[in-house]
Amino acid sequence: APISGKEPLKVKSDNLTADNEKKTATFEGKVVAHQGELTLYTDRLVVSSDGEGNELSKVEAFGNVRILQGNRQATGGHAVYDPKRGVILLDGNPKVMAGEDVITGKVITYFINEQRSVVTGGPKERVEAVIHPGGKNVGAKP
Amino acid sequence: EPAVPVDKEVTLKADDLSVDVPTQVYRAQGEVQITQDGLSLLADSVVYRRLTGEAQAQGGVLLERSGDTMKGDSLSLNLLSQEGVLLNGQLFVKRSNMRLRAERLEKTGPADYKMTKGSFTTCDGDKPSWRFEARQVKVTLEDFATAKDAVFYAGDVPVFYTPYLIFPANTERQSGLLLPRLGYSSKKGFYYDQPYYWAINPSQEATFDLDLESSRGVGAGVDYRYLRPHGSSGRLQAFGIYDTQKSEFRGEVDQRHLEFLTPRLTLASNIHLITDRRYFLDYGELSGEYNRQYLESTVSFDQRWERSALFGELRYTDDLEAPNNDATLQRLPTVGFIEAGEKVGPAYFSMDSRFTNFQREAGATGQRLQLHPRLAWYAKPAGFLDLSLYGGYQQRMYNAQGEESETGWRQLGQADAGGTLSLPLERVYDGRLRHLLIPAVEYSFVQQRHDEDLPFFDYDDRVLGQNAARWSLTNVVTRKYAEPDGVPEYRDLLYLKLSQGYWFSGQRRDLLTLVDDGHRLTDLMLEGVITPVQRLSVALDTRYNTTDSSFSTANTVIELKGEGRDKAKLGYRHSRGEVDYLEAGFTLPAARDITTDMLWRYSADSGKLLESRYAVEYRRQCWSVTFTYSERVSSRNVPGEQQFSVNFTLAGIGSLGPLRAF
Amino acid sequence: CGYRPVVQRGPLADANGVDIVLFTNKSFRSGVEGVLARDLIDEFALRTGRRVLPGDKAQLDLSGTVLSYTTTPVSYNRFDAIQEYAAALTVQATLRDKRTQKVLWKGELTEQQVYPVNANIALQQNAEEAAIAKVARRLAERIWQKIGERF
Repeated sequence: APISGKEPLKVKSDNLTADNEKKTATFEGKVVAHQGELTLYTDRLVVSSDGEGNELSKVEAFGNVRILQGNRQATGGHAVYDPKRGVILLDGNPKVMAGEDVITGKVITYFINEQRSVVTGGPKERVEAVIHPGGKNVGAKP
Repeated sequence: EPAVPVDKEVTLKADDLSVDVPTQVYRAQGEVQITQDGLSLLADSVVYRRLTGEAQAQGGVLLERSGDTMKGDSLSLNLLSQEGVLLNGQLFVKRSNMRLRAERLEKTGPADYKMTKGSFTTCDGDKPSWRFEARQVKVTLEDFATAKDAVFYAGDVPVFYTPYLIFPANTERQSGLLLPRLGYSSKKGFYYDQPYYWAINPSQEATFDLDLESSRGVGAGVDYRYLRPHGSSGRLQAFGIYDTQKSEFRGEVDQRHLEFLTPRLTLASNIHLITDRRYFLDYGELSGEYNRQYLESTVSFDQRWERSALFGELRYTDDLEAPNNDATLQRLPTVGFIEAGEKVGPAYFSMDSRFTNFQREAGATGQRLQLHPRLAWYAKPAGFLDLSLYGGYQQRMYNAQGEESETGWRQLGQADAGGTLSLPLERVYDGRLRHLLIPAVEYSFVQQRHDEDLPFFDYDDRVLGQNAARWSLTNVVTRKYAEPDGVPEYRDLLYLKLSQGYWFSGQRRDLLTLVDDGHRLTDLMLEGVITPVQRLSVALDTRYNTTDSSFSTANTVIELKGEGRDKAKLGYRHSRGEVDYLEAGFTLPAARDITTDMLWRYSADSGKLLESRYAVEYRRQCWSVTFTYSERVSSRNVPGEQQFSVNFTLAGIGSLGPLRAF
Repeated sequence: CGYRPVVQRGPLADANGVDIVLFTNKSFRSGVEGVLARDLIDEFALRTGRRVLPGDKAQLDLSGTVLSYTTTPVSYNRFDAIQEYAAALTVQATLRDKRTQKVLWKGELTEQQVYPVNANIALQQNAEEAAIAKVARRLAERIWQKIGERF
């Protein structure tokens, strides 16, 4: 089932600094975050929540971001996850790999609930996808 | 499920891409490029369904595969099966420069296309000088294209309609409908020759042609060629016409077949027959045909072993210059066994034996058996001289019928012997040029026997006794060319052989010359070929009578090859009192797209031109037309003829190419 | 003067002998492969000092194909009647190492010889046979020269 903002977000890291005033928590050093069957590895993760019920409003990862979902994997230099809209935005040489298929571009936006990703290219880095037709059934996770 | 082979991998590039994961639908916009296994697709936008391999391309679609391109507005293509439909598209086949344009262009396979209501041409540009409009065209790139209900347009003028047409899409093989040859000749009157080519399958093809001649009627010809397994092959050429002038059917059949029953047993047949003896005089086109001297049909087998061969041949000869063929000697059959050389101790045993059954309507007939064993011995005295000695015995047995005196079995034997001594020398000049010099001396002896009263069928029945020596000096100059790939190439620049003989006793019969004054000291013979550069070759073959210091024969051929078809050839043959003949042929570019061919055959002994042929070819980018004029003088043997013809060819649709073997 | 007896070069030099096998005949002229083989054995035995050996002893083998035989008119008299023909033989020959079947030399050669016409065609056929014999002799010599020419 597509994950939604309600699932608990578990994070492990070397250390954690919380800033109650800005309602942010910054995890640093080999950060591993789980939500549903989405797993995120990064160097530094800043989790912020908005005013009312302390709901997660934004999760931002910096450095060696690696996101795993089933046998799909995405990597990039920086990622922003908006749990409310269920959107992950990945940039900094982002790359999505599913089986042997690889997609690269300038920015990759992944709509988790619709299971749809949009890859936009820039003047220098056009979108490039290497796809294996038919045969290998890749990533259409139920 | 096996992993998809890498070559089927699709690479997609675009400005933007959106991927719907569950349905695996890729939507790409902005200079989209999809490449897969030698196929590349460009378009403004493409929707690609990975699971089915479907790609829907819109806007400025260009599909390219090994040089052949499809252009159009919208294309739906399946990348797995490489099949697709292109709406108002254009197909360009690179190798044959073929352009097809159609409202609907289907790609029905990796190299197959089908076009409905379109046009095709090999002319560049938007206003082709010629094109075919066809209801349907099927193109298989490796092989053929077929068109149905095609109309041929010259410029914008419809010239003719044909229900069916095939032409080579990407091979040199000839097309279906060939362009006609029209012309006028003093023998044929106005004529229209319409060839039609049918590629039956990759190893069989046939060219039919209809020959309408205003003064001689309607003729039909066929040229059928086929390949069979194990390298066997054959050809059947036939022509027939009801000659309205002679009001009789006339024609020719020329059949060849070569069959390899086993790798060592070959059957060969070459049947060449004509309806009447004057056929070639009236229907022969080129020299050698219209003045053909004889016709030969043979059926033969060759069975070979390591170093020996058994062969048998039925040979029927038709002497066209004789009033009738009754006196012509027929060899029905000849059976021969040759032992090429079996090592027996230090010597080599070889044998040439032949049985012939001579038949003819008028004149002596009979059987002849010849056995000619020979023992040869070789040595290298002093380590560098090459010595060979041989001794042999020729036994002839006859059983003749016909003239009384010679009937019944007769036989005669003659010994022969001889030897050669030669000293091959060489010198290499700075590693690039080698001069091989072979002085040699030969001696040959044939026992004199009295065989005048034996049957006489051919010269093998009058073996001349002899006791003769011959010296010779052979030169070969070879040049070494260093090749980029390191393996040097060697080319002979010069071959020159000087030789002369001396008859101590006995008579001489030199079958290879028309002039031999019979002196004990033979003519000095010079045979040579000089090719200073690959494009130029000069051949010489002359005999100089040193006793009377005069030339018995002087023959030379000079050949110069230029670019492409350009060439010049000059041939002069002179045998004192017998032959004085000059032949000159040129193929020269006259202008940028005009090439002229000229041929003159000049009889110096009568000081007049036997035949002259001229051709002017005007070549455009996608078509060419050739005008030919030929004239030959009539003589005692040969009727004269003037002929003028026009011949169109469409580029990419006009030349016969190699058949594909099995 | 710088000329030395021919040094056996190339494959023939170090091999212990060559087995000369009859060529395949694709020329519609039956028996011509036997004439050619006789001349090849004679030429090679002369030049290599009897080192033409049967298959089981020889290290090399020389085989090939007679590709074509043609007779073409080359001169005419004042009445445009044919006076002389040129008989031409084209052969393809291959020298191989018998054990490894490695091709040591391969070549395609054509030789021709002119012979005169004779009113009696049977006698003209003798002249044609003589022309073929001379062409075969010349081909045998050239094949030996070609194999040993790698200086």
